[in-house]
Amino acid sequence: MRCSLTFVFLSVLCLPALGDSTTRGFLGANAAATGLDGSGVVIGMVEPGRPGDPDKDLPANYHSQVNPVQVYSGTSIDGANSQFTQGGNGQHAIEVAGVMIASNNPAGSITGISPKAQLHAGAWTGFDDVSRAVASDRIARISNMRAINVSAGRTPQGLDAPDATSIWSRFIDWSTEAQDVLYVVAGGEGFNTGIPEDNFNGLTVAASQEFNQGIGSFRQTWSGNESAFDPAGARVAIDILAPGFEILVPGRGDNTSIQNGTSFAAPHVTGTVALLQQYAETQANPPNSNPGFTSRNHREPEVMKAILLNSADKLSGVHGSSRDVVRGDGSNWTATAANNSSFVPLDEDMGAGHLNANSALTNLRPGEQSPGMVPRIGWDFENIGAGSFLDYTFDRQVSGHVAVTLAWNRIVDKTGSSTGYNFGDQFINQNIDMELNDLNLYLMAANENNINNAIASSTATEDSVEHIFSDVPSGNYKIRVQHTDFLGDDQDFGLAW
Amino acid sequence: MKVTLPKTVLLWVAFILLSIASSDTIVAAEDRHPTEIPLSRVWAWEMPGTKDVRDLEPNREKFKKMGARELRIRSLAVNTYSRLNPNFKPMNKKKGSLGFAGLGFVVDATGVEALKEANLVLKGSKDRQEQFEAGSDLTLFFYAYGSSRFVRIDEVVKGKNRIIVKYHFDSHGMRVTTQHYALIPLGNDLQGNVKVTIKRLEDTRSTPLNSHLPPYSVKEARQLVCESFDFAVLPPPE
Repeated sequence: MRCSLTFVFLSVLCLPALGDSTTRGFLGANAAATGLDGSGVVIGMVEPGRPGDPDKDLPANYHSQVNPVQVYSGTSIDGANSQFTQGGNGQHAIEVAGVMIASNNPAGSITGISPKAQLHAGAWTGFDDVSRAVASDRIARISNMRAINVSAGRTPQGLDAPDATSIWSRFIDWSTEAQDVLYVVAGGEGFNTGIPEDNFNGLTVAASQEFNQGIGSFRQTWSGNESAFDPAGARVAIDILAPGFEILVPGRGDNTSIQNGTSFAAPHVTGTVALLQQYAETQANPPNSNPGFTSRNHREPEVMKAILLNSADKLSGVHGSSRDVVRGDGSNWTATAANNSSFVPLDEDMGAGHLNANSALTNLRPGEQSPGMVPRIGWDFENIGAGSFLDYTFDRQVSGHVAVTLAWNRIVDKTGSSTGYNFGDQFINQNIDMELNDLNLYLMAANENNINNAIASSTATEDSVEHIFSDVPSGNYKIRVQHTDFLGDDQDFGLAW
Repeated sequence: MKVTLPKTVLLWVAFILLSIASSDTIVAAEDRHPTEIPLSRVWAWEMPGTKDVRDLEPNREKFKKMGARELRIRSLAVNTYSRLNPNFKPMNKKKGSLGFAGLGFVVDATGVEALKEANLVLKGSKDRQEQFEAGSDLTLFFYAYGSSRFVRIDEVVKGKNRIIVKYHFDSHGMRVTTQHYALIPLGNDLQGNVKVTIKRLEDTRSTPLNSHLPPYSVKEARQLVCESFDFAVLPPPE
């Protein structure tokens, strides 16, 4: 007992020295435990403003700990002290950037999730979807861009609805597939809802808060607005929770502040992608040349999405979870429709659960596997033909909670260049059913072939994610991925377990 | 032809005229020279045109090295900000729904002392003070609980016994929840019963991102922003 009390006392005393526990720490993204800093990984952000750049702007417009590699306005490199560094938009951009890349050089109180990642920050120059898409495209075209943070959104206008048919949402889904970059999008805040968090291929993030301090119980911030987050149809907008309550952020003129919102939850996820990519690239490159990474398939956004969702915290102590995550009404995952219906992969209030960077790293570490015999933890990027299935059989007996996540992309077509988006390009306005293949996911006994006898299944028809989290008795099991569109096209997918 | 109005009608006319005269007309007569309190004299949390309330605290540099939790504990400005996050919105216990934000209030202090006093009232450690001695140097605490729209003060007008604070909501499209507060110096020359009117102006949009977002309803605004109230400045004892 004395030891515990001493620990608690020292923990409180050491809080400042540990940096901000709600961001990198155990109570945040659990990123510090990875020992990674995002070195060498290229990430981006795009929103109405851009962070001040210590290499070109005046001190009043930047924070010394936040130093983006390059800053843009629209498709151009932005000039010094431009309008995009000013006012609320410039302030917001520094705050968001700080969650990702604030570094302790020069020394300060804030350390971002991936302080050594190379951030390219773009501001859009017009307030229409085309301008937003063009500015995002500029960032997406940067060599080795792995993830782009979007901490802004808009309400539906006129006849459009939050159903992923707006130009902005179509752009995100197109760019994810065509440019191999994961968009991490802040979910609606309060009564704002809609676009582009209704995208299919990106990751939409809601903000969490710890409500039972010291015990580690988390729920969505301002829970109760969750119904507003549902896009049209049965799909839920939220993929994952990340810290978004009273986050320590940098500001213009070297100020610091605490802020709330999904704007700050999303960059926790974007920064985590940088950590995972850093690990994977280190494994892929000499001298490691780890065959689990040399295909470079860890760069595929579907893989990152599957791993981040699969490793999300749900129930404390279960499946590597470092916290309890609950809905607004206090119920946990076991009471959700996602747990109890095979047609609902994610929960409307918590998505797959809470971001846990260290668990995501654990999921990534074994490297890419192939259909057939697989280790207990792993991932794969694969292509599946229409009407066919692929099995992944565990190479050992399994018991307890098993998580499996499948992610694939909606395919959006457009006119013009296939590698970039320009003014004048038009997305081909097809029915979403024509753009989205239907893949299903099953957990079955290893010797079973009938999907009707699966132990657990995820068979949503209007989503591009399937997710299983099931407590199984000791036995031999396999994962089956099935492409149910017999007339559809082949489909790439990312799978994590 | 002589028309004689019934006595009751005459009484009603007199009553109506008196009512009109006793409200705005009398106030206007007393406030013949209302003055504007410039926003540059107002200490506030992130409101354009005002002074940054964080500059009120001495040795602000030390806060730049603190984590979020320590900042919340050690910085009065941050703690006050935190006290207005949506978790602290008053609840209507009977209905189990959100209640109204409550009345604004005045503290008998200025500067950082006013921030301390306001913080205590927000915490519930001190009651709102409704009467003050003449000559007290007073500060009005205006506040708004967290929402997805900015709250901006447009103008503060001060008469002899009437204060008007005009504000508006500004929708922005960034995915942030912000709360706001302001310390408005009222000076030491108020007298008698003072009416503070918190007046909402038309919403604005700092970006067109939410151009189709409907304005907050009156009820929603009352749940977020402090409301009008009265206080009294008593004459000095004989």
